Order: sequence, then C-alpha cells, then structure tokens
Amino acid sequence: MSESANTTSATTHIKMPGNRRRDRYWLRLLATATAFSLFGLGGLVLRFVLFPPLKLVYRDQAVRQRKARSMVQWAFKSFIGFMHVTGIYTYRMHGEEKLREPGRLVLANHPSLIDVVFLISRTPNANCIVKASLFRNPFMRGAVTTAGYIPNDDPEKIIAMAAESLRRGESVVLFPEGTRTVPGKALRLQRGAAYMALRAGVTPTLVTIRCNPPMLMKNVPWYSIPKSRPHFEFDITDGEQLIPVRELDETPLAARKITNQLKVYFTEEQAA
Amino acid sequence: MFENREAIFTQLKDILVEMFEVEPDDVSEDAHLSDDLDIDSIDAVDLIVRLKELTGKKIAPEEFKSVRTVGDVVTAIEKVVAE
Repeated sequence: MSESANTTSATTHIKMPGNRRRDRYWLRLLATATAFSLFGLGGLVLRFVLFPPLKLVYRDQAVRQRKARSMVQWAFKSFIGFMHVTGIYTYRMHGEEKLREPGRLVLANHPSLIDVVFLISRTPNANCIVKASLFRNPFMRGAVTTAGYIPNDDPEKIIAMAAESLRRGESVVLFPEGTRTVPGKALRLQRGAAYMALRAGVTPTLVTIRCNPPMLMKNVPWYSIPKSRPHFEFDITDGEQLIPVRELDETPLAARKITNQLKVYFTEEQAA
Repeated sequence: MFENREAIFTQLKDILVEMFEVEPDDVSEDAHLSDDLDIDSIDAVDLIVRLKELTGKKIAPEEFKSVRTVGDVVTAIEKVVAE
C-alpha cells in the first residue's frame, strides 16, 4: 500500500518541473506582451522621430548610415535590457568583445526570434539582410534605406552588397540558415554566407546561440511562453582555425566546403 | 560537342559533376536541380558563365529563369545552340 503511494508521488515529482508554470510565469507573460508593444513603438519612434532629423544634420550618406545604425544598436540594447530586468530571460555572452571589431562577418545559428536583436545590440555599425518587402513598405522604406540594410530579394545582389559592406569595414550579421532553426531537424544552411566570406576575404566570426528552454521559436506564437524562465548562452569565437577563407578562391566547390564546415560546427556546438 | 540532345546531356553531366561534385548517378533528365542536386541560384549563375564559354554564345539569364530540372537545362542549351 505505502509502496504504491510512494511510486505515485515520485512520478508526480518528476513530472512537475516540466508542466508547472514557474519563475513568475504570469509576470513573464505580461512582460512579453509589453516588450512586443515596446518593440513596435520603438520602431515607430526611430522611424518618425529620430531618423528624419538625420537627413538634415548629416549630409554625408555614410555618416548618416553610421548614426542610424548606432541608434538601432542603442534601441536594441535597451530592448534586450528591458526583457532581462523584467525577468523574461537570463543570458550570458562569452567573447562578446569580438563583435566590437570592425568588418566582421557574424554568422549564427538561429533558435529564436530575438537572436538578431541580441547580436545587433553588441555589434557596432552592423549591417543586416532584411525582408525586401520592407523596402517597398511606405512606413519602413525610409528606415531601412537610412540604415543602409540589404534587401533579401536577389541572392547574387545580397552577396555583392554584403561583401562590399565588409570591405568598407562594416560588420554583417547573418543567419546562414536563412530562417529560424527547427529543433530536432538537421541544419540546412544556404551557401550565401560562404560566398560573402570568400568574396570579401573575411574569416567569419561564429556565434553559437543556445536557448533553454526554447522561446520565440519558429511557428510558435509570442504568447505561448515557456513554463520556466529561459536562459540564453552566446558563444562567440573566431572561425580562423576552422575555415581557411583566405586560402580559397571563390568557386562553387569552395562555397560548398565552407558551408559544410559551418554546418558541422553549428550542429556540434548547438548540441553541446 | 552540342550536336544533339544526348551529347548535350553527357556534356552537361560532366560539367555538373566537375563544378558541383554531384554524384554522376544522380544526374538524369528528370533530376530537379535544387531538390535532387542541391544546385542553388548562385550555382546557376556560375553554370551559365561556364556554358557561355563552352558554347561561345551569349546566354541571357532570363532563358534560365524557368529552368527546374536537368532536362530543362538541356532544352535551354539546345535553343541557344540552334540560334
């Protein structure tokens, strides 16, 4: 009798941590809703309040672009900070200083919606590839052109623009998967990142992002937040040892080789 | 070299194997370029450059816009050579 009672309570104990809402669940949900609204609001403020004067103050397009990007960086940093202090997640970065060096090609795996916000918040003068539709959207067009971002329409054009951007000493933040990682599925990398590295002769800086438990995954609505508070880990390393970019010419085979090395790296690191 | 469909196919197969290290056995007229052979749009640009050199003809990228399978490429080359 007592034995069976024991077994029951043991099973409930094992089950509890996964199923129970912990770590101030309702507060985290409220904070997440607030964060999403703030993000939208912040976008509008940048677009309609902070960006327009740039056109008047800075005549030089390159300077204006730099200022716009530093505003975005500052906004993203505040946003990351807001989500941190409200307890939506905890996070830790290793090797963050590598992102501050100019002209880096920053490649990362992509577990969550806010990865790009984390990375851009730490990368000065960061360029990134954004949906081409934003360049046609009257509300967004001004912002993305002022910041000099790259539209994602034509693959060859993306590579050319990113390589040029790197040569000018800007950093380019990119997810070689092209879309968020689906947990449990084999990584599928596009080869664009390898072509950028080859064309610009830049060794990629590799960022492994781990988020446990996962949050803001692909195909999961924002309000279905994890039962317990997620923790983000960012491991930032220089790809020098792994990928000998400078010894290679830009050929389809070299791009395949590098892409495969990236795939092996991220697959292993992601699981670590 | 590009006298008939079969000759074009054989030539194209060699090019695909050499440029993209695809498995020769995977190359058939029905093979889908991106799904079966993992050849993407950037590869296609390189492929067109190569075909230009080999045929000595101008190839407009538009002629390759609707290309999906190896057979489609053969047809496109046929057209270019006939011009």
